[in-house]
Amino acid sequence: MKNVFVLIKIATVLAIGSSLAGCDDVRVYGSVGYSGYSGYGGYHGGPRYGTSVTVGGRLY
Amino acid sequence: MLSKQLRPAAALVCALFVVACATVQIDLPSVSEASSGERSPGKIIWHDLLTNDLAGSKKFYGSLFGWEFESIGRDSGFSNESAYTLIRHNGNLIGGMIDTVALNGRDDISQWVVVMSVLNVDTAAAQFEADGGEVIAAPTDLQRRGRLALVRDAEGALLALLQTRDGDPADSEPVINEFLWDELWTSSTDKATVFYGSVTGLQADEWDIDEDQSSNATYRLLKSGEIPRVGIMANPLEDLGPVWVSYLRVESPADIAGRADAFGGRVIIEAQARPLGGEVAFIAGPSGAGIALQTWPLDQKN
Repeated sequence: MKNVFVLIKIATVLAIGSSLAGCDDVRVYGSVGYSGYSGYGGYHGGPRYGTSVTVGGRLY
Repeated sequence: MLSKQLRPAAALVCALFVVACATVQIDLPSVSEASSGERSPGKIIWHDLLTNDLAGSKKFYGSLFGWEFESIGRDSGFSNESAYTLIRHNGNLIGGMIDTVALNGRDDISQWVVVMSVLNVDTAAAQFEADGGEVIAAPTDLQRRGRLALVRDAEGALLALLQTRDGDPADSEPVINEFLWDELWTSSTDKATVFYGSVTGLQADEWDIDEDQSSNATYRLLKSGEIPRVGIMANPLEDLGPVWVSYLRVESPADIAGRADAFGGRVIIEAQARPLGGEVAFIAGPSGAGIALQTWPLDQKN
């Protein structure tokens, strides 16, 4: 019986450890990087536009 | 085969694993410290910057716009303190920053994400999926903030949908160096106008913003009664995918754009006079996330 308690104790420690390691932050924004998303990518390099581009903005 | 003595231990292991995982909860502050108590579907009620350069982004926005930052990652339930940072201006809560490095995100996703109010986030997310879009992160409870989903529309523009827990921020006059406006740059303005109108219940209106340039002159507004909420226009940059673009109200776009390089940013569209009045520029911060700058009211030049 003593051996069973030892086993349970070891299992409990292992369970807590593996649980914490296995639980990741809730993936809301973090999900973007794992979704195959490839559309935007930010504005690194590329052309610099002058005044020929019409953009919108607040109108009223 | 497990012995009789080991079976209880194995069951305990399984039970603990489930309980421990279930306790991981993210609790983000409300998007407003003075909510209206009501929801305004279609209104952009928050902005989150996804950045792979948190320190550089803080320096850039702090130096150019006087923003202040408060890291709340661990208090919010993330395993990393830098995972979430609140942005304040003159003490007022105006947005958040997500450290994509802390979240193990990819390096090329830096951008400002608009957070659109919806009455029911589960229903709205399903509408995006049914329209050919994608639910990137299923509706998730973020406690005080409400229930949030991350989606892409059918053309690929990324945005978040939020069903606030306590109501949306009340309408207010835009303040210098704070968010002024949000618009969608897309390849299909007609389709997007109909779709976002159906998701939010907003009514469409049209403006001719530049009589000399017919290609992208028609500007769509989605309005709640007489209150314009968001704009939709043809994407003016050929090498850019569909994207929601946020505008900051500034005193001088030319001045800010002129200093962007010094703080690790770059100018995408140089400061220019708007056909309808005022001045506008488009810059990117150190992480590559783009943001537009505009004077307002429209007759303000500097």
